[in-house]
Amino acid sequence: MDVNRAARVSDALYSLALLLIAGLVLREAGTLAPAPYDPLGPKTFPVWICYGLIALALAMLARLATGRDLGRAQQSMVLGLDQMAEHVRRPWTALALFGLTIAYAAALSLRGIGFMAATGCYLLLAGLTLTRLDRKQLLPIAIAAGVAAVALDFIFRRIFILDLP
Amino acid sequence: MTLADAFLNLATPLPFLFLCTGVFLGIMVGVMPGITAGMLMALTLPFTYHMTSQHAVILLMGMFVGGVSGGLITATLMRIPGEPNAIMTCLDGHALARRGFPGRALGLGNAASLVGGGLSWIALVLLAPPLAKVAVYFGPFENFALVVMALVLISSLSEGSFLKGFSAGLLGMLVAMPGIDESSGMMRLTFGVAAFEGGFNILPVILGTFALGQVFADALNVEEKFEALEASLKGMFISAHDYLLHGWNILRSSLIGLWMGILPGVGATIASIVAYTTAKNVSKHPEAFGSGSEEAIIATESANNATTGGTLIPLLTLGIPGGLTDSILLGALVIHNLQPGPLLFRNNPEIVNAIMASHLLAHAIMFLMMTLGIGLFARMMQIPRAYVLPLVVVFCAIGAFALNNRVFDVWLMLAFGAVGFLLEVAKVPLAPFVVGLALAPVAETELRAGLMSSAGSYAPFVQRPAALFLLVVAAAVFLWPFLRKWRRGRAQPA
Repeated sequence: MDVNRAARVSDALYSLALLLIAGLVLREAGTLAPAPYDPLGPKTFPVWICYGLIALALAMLARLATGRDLGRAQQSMVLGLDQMAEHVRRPWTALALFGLTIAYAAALSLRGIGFMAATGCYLLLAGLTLTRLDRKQLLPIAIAAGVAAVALDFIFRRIFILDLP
Repeated sequence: MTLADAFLNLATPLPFLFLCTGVFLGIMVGVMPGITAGMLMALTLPFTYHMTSQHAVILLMGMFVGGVSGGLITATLMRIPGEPNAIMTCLDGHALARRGFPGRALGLGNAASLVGGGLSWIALVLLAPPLAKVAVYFGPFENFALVVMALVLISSLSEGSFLKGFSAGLLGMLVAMPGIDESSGMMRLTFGVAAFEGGFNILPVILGTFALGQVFADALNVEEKFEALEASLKGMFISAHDYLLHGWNILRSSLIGLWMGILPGVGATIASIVAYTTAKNVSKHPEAFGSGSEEAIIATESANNATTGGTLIPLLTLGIPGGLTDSILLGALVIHNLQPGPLLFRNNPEIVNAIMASHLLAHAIMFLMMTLGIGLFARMMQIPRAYVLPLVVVFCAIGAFALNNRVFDVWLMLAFGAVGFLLEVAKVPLAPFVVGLALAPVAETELRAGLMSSAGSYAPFVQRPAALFLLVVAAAVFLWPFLRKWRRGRAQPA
């Protein structure tokens, strides 16, 4: 799929997602009762925003349907996504890191696994994922993960007196 | 507390320590490719919750200034912009370093950063208070119109993607809606999910979009290799003759940076590009640009540091973030129950003065740290991502959890990390999203208060000159891209 076609597909998906979100919010907002003495009430503002989103989404879809594109953000909050890369990009590494982060959040939700254990395992596995399972890095990453997990637990529980999961 | 008191306060141990820590961390992060100052500030936000507001803004200002400046080192030694605003410095800074003058390249950039930041501080101190005095007369209709104008302005940041930008702003506003409606006390848009009743706190959303999105992008680019030139102090100390020689360039570029900083949504990257181009156009040796021109380095670095003062002017006086990173400062003030805008000068002058004093002192500390610590910072460029990125995620998780002691906020952060990343891949600008999220509660509250006071009439939007002016500006900015395209279409031969 060439770059332009991929961009048009992502723009179309974005527009459709906006329509879906606006539709869901409109439906939910419809259940709200008006407030006395308040000309707008709690539902008017979200409803206006949804109408705005629907109008913009339809305008974007109309532009795409007539063969025009939607343009690109000139400034990016995230570095490294917009330029052509001389190196090989690793989408599966990014996905694996995302999966590990989900697992980390799940581990933090469970009472049986403490913050220290969950963090140590996450740092180890994420580090190995980013080095693409390089065996030479196993020991240094394992040591760094262990030290970091203990240090963070101590710093945040004992020094900052924060409740950790 | 006056400005002089604020400076004296910064001389006391704890505030001074916070400022130095902020600058150090900002430079460190500015140096490391793939880790941005915005990410650092977002990561720090949850921990500032446990500090006083003054200490929080001092720390964040240090990070802000340090982060803008730190990108110079990576740009010069590795030809990689440690921060987006250092893109133009890559061209000539690295070229001059490769010719055997890394110290001089770094010294020129560092000196230009100091002077640019200093000049923008003068503008901040002179312009912000009078502007705030005018803006204090704004009522609810003016404030609502101001938010609309801010959203339209920041959406117009990216020519050609205005529709996407504006939709991102509205999406951000929608994300701020669930939870308790403060005016009526009713629960809304919770979809029957108990966890939504507390609403979506701005902090996990900022952590997700700013920090996690960058982590995933860095994981995507994990194979990227960096080779660095050796840092050297030789030639780093700039003489008075050099300052005089480049005086006009510094002044011109600083004014460009200041103006670009004041314009909401423009920011340091565009400022450095404009300053570079202008310097090249007026230079006696334009052919030298791109191959180690000292004028080029001076132009870009003074411009990008001058934006730091410029962006604070609309943020402090009107509550409009002037740049991308400013939206995090806005979030920080909101988290500390401070509403940026003209009333901040009246109700919390100590915060305003702390920000102003920290801005200037941070530049001085940055200059010293960059000069004396160049070897240390240069080594930090080499820390493998495999160690740094997972640690960033853990800090994000701690920060999100510590807010309300609930894991839901960690899940929220993760969700918005994915959303933010996907929006970036789709080239949807994130700055309007964050601005919409931060300003939506203000917009709704002001509009409803105004309509209650006018018995439901919208006439004050037309009857009150300031509100009308702001709406006209917003409409003009909204329509301008379409008008320009139409005119271009007419101008082209059939």
